[in-house]
Amino acid sequence: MATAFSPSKFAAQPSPLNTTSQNNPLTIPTTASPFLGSTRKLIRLSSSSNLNLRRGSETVVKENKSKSTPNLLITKEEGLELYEDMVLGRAVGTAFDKCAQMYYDRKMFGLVDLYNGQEAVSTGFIKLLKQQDSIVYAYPDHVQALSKGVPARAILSELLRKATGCCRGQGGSLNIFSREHNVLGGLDFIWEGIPIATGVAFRSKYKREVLKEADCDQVTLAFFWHGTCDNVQFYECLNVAALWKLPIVFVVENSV
Amino acid sequence: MLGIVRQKMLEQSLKKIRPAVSVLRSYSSAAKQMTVREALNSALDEEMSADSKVFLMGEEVGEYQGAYKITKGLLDKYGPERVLDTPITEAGFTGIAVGAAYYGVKPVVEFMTFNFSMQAIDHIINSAAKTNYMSSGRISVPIVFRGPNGAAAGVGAQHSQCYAAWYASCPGLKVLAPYSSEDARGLLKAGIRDPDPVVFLENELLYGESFPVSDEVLDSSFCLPIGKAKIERKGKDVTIAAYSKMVGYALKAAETLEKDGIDAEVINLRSIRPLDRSTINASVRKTNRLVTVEEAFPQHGVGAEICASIVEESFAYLDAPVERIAGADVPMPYAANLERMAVPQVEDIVRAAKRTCYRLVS
Repeated sequence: MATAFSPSKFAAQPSPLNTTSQNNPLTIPTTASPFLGSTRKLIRLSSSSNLNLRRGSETVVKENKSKSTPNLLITKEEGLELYEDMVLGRAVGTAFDKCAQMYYDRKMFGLVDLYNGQEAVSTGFIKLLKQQDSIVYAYPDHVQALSKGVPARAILSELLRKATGCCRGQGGSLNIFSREHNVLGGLDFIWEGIPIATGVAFRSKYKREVLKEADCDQVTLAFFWHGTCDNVQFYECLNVAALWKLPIVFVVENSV
Repeated sequence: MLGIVRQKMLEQSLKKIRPAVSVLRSYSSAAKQMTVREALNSALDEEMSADSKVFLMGEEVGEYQGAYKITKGLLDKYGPERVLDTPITEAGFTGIAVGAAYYGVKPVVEFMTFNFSMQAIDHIINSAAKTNYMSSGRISVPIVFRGPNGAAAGVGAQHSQCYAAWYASCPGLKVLAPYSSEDARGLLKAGIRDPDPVVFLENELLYGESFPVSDEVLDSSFCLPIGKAKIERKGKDVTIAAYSKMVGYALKAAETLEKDGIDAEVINLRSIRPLDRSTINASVRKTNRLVTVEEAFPQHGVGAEICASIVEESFAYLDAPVERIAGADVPMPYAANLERMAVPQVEDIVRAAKRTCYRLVS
């Protein structure tokens, strides 16, 4: 059931990722600025759109509150933050849906794929990242970019081929890049992002070991669908990442 | 009568200019000889020394000292963090290098031959070449892809293709093809310093060839401009435009032609993309005849592009149709006699030049 609500301003408590303690539930490091792209008043969505939290995550929250396992516990504020992020992703997806209508009305061209129902995966991962961490993904790509902080307005403008888009209309819905938020596409070749992400992780390691920037702790996330696991580049990168010990997480999404 | 007088005056003034021009061309009297292999090795060494963001990646570049010994000694000098031996995974390691380059480090990726770059061509074109445009200029990719290109000796069809035309057709890439040691040093240094993806097409058969190099070339800050061709030999009767190994053949053809009274101007393209159209057109406007030479397959090749450029810009200056010399339109044969027939030879260039001059071809 969907209701509009104003998101609580989550007080930023930057903390290192690897601290866990009995007393503190897992805090999500965020930058001091409020979540970019969030709207004060979310769109009141029709009842036909399914906005229930995925059963899995509901269970996780409930179970953990009862079992009080410290590592997986999230506070209500964090839960709301995650929920807002997912709802935003879905709202933009709904707008995309409208764009798909426009596609048929010949107002918009190109490819439009939707991420409905999968938002929890990207939100769950990306909300753990810092600004300087990077994400690379295949397609659809708008939800991950949103979670990372690219404004919804910039993404929709890009889709509608406007110069105010995040890539000035030169990338399109297929290729959303943001240097500021370390978002590297949007690459329609589903395997293409895996070596790219591995390369970005390699760069983190290079910065640390060769360029001697010891405080560099950037990690990279590569998102791709389970079908990509048939592709040779996936295995090549698994091999190299293990060989060279790279700071990368390969996120395989079951897109069935 | 007046024409002959004018021509004689021109010749005399040219004779006065020519020694000065040749001095300018070689910068100073050549003191040292350097092989292309040494030129490439020294260029890599100096660029890695000057900028710690430059690193090498490829098969056998480290422990084996390079499949063709181009990267000899660099592992010992810079360590395994900067000279990385990769598994046999062209697609994988090219993508990794491109991803690293998105964030400002400068990989130099070696392909054992450019035939293997086809395994990685998606990353070269889609990930590297197009990213600067797709990100509206926010992400640049300062990467160099280098390795031997074109026919070697007896390696067969799958190891002998020239990829200049393929890569040069793609916006977002720069494609360089050195001939001499001076070219190799200057262009590789320029490529490494360039903020855009550069495809650097070497030639295996040129690695061992020696060329004279001046002190200026040996200086560690030496750099050649990308997009500028070099006039290797000035002439007035016919222009021969070539790149890589074919420049050497064109120069030999020019010597043969000189005995028959044809004074050929030989242009070393150096840069396939961006192509130095202005130099080629200026030369054709002077000589009025053009022969293009390349080792690659003829269709949709570099010669075709040069011909189109001349037709677009200097058509009225042509006194004869453009002659296009290219490799045979077959996969490279293995047998040595067939291979020789599949690749342009000096005699082919001489015959083509004579055809443009409407001389009898024996």
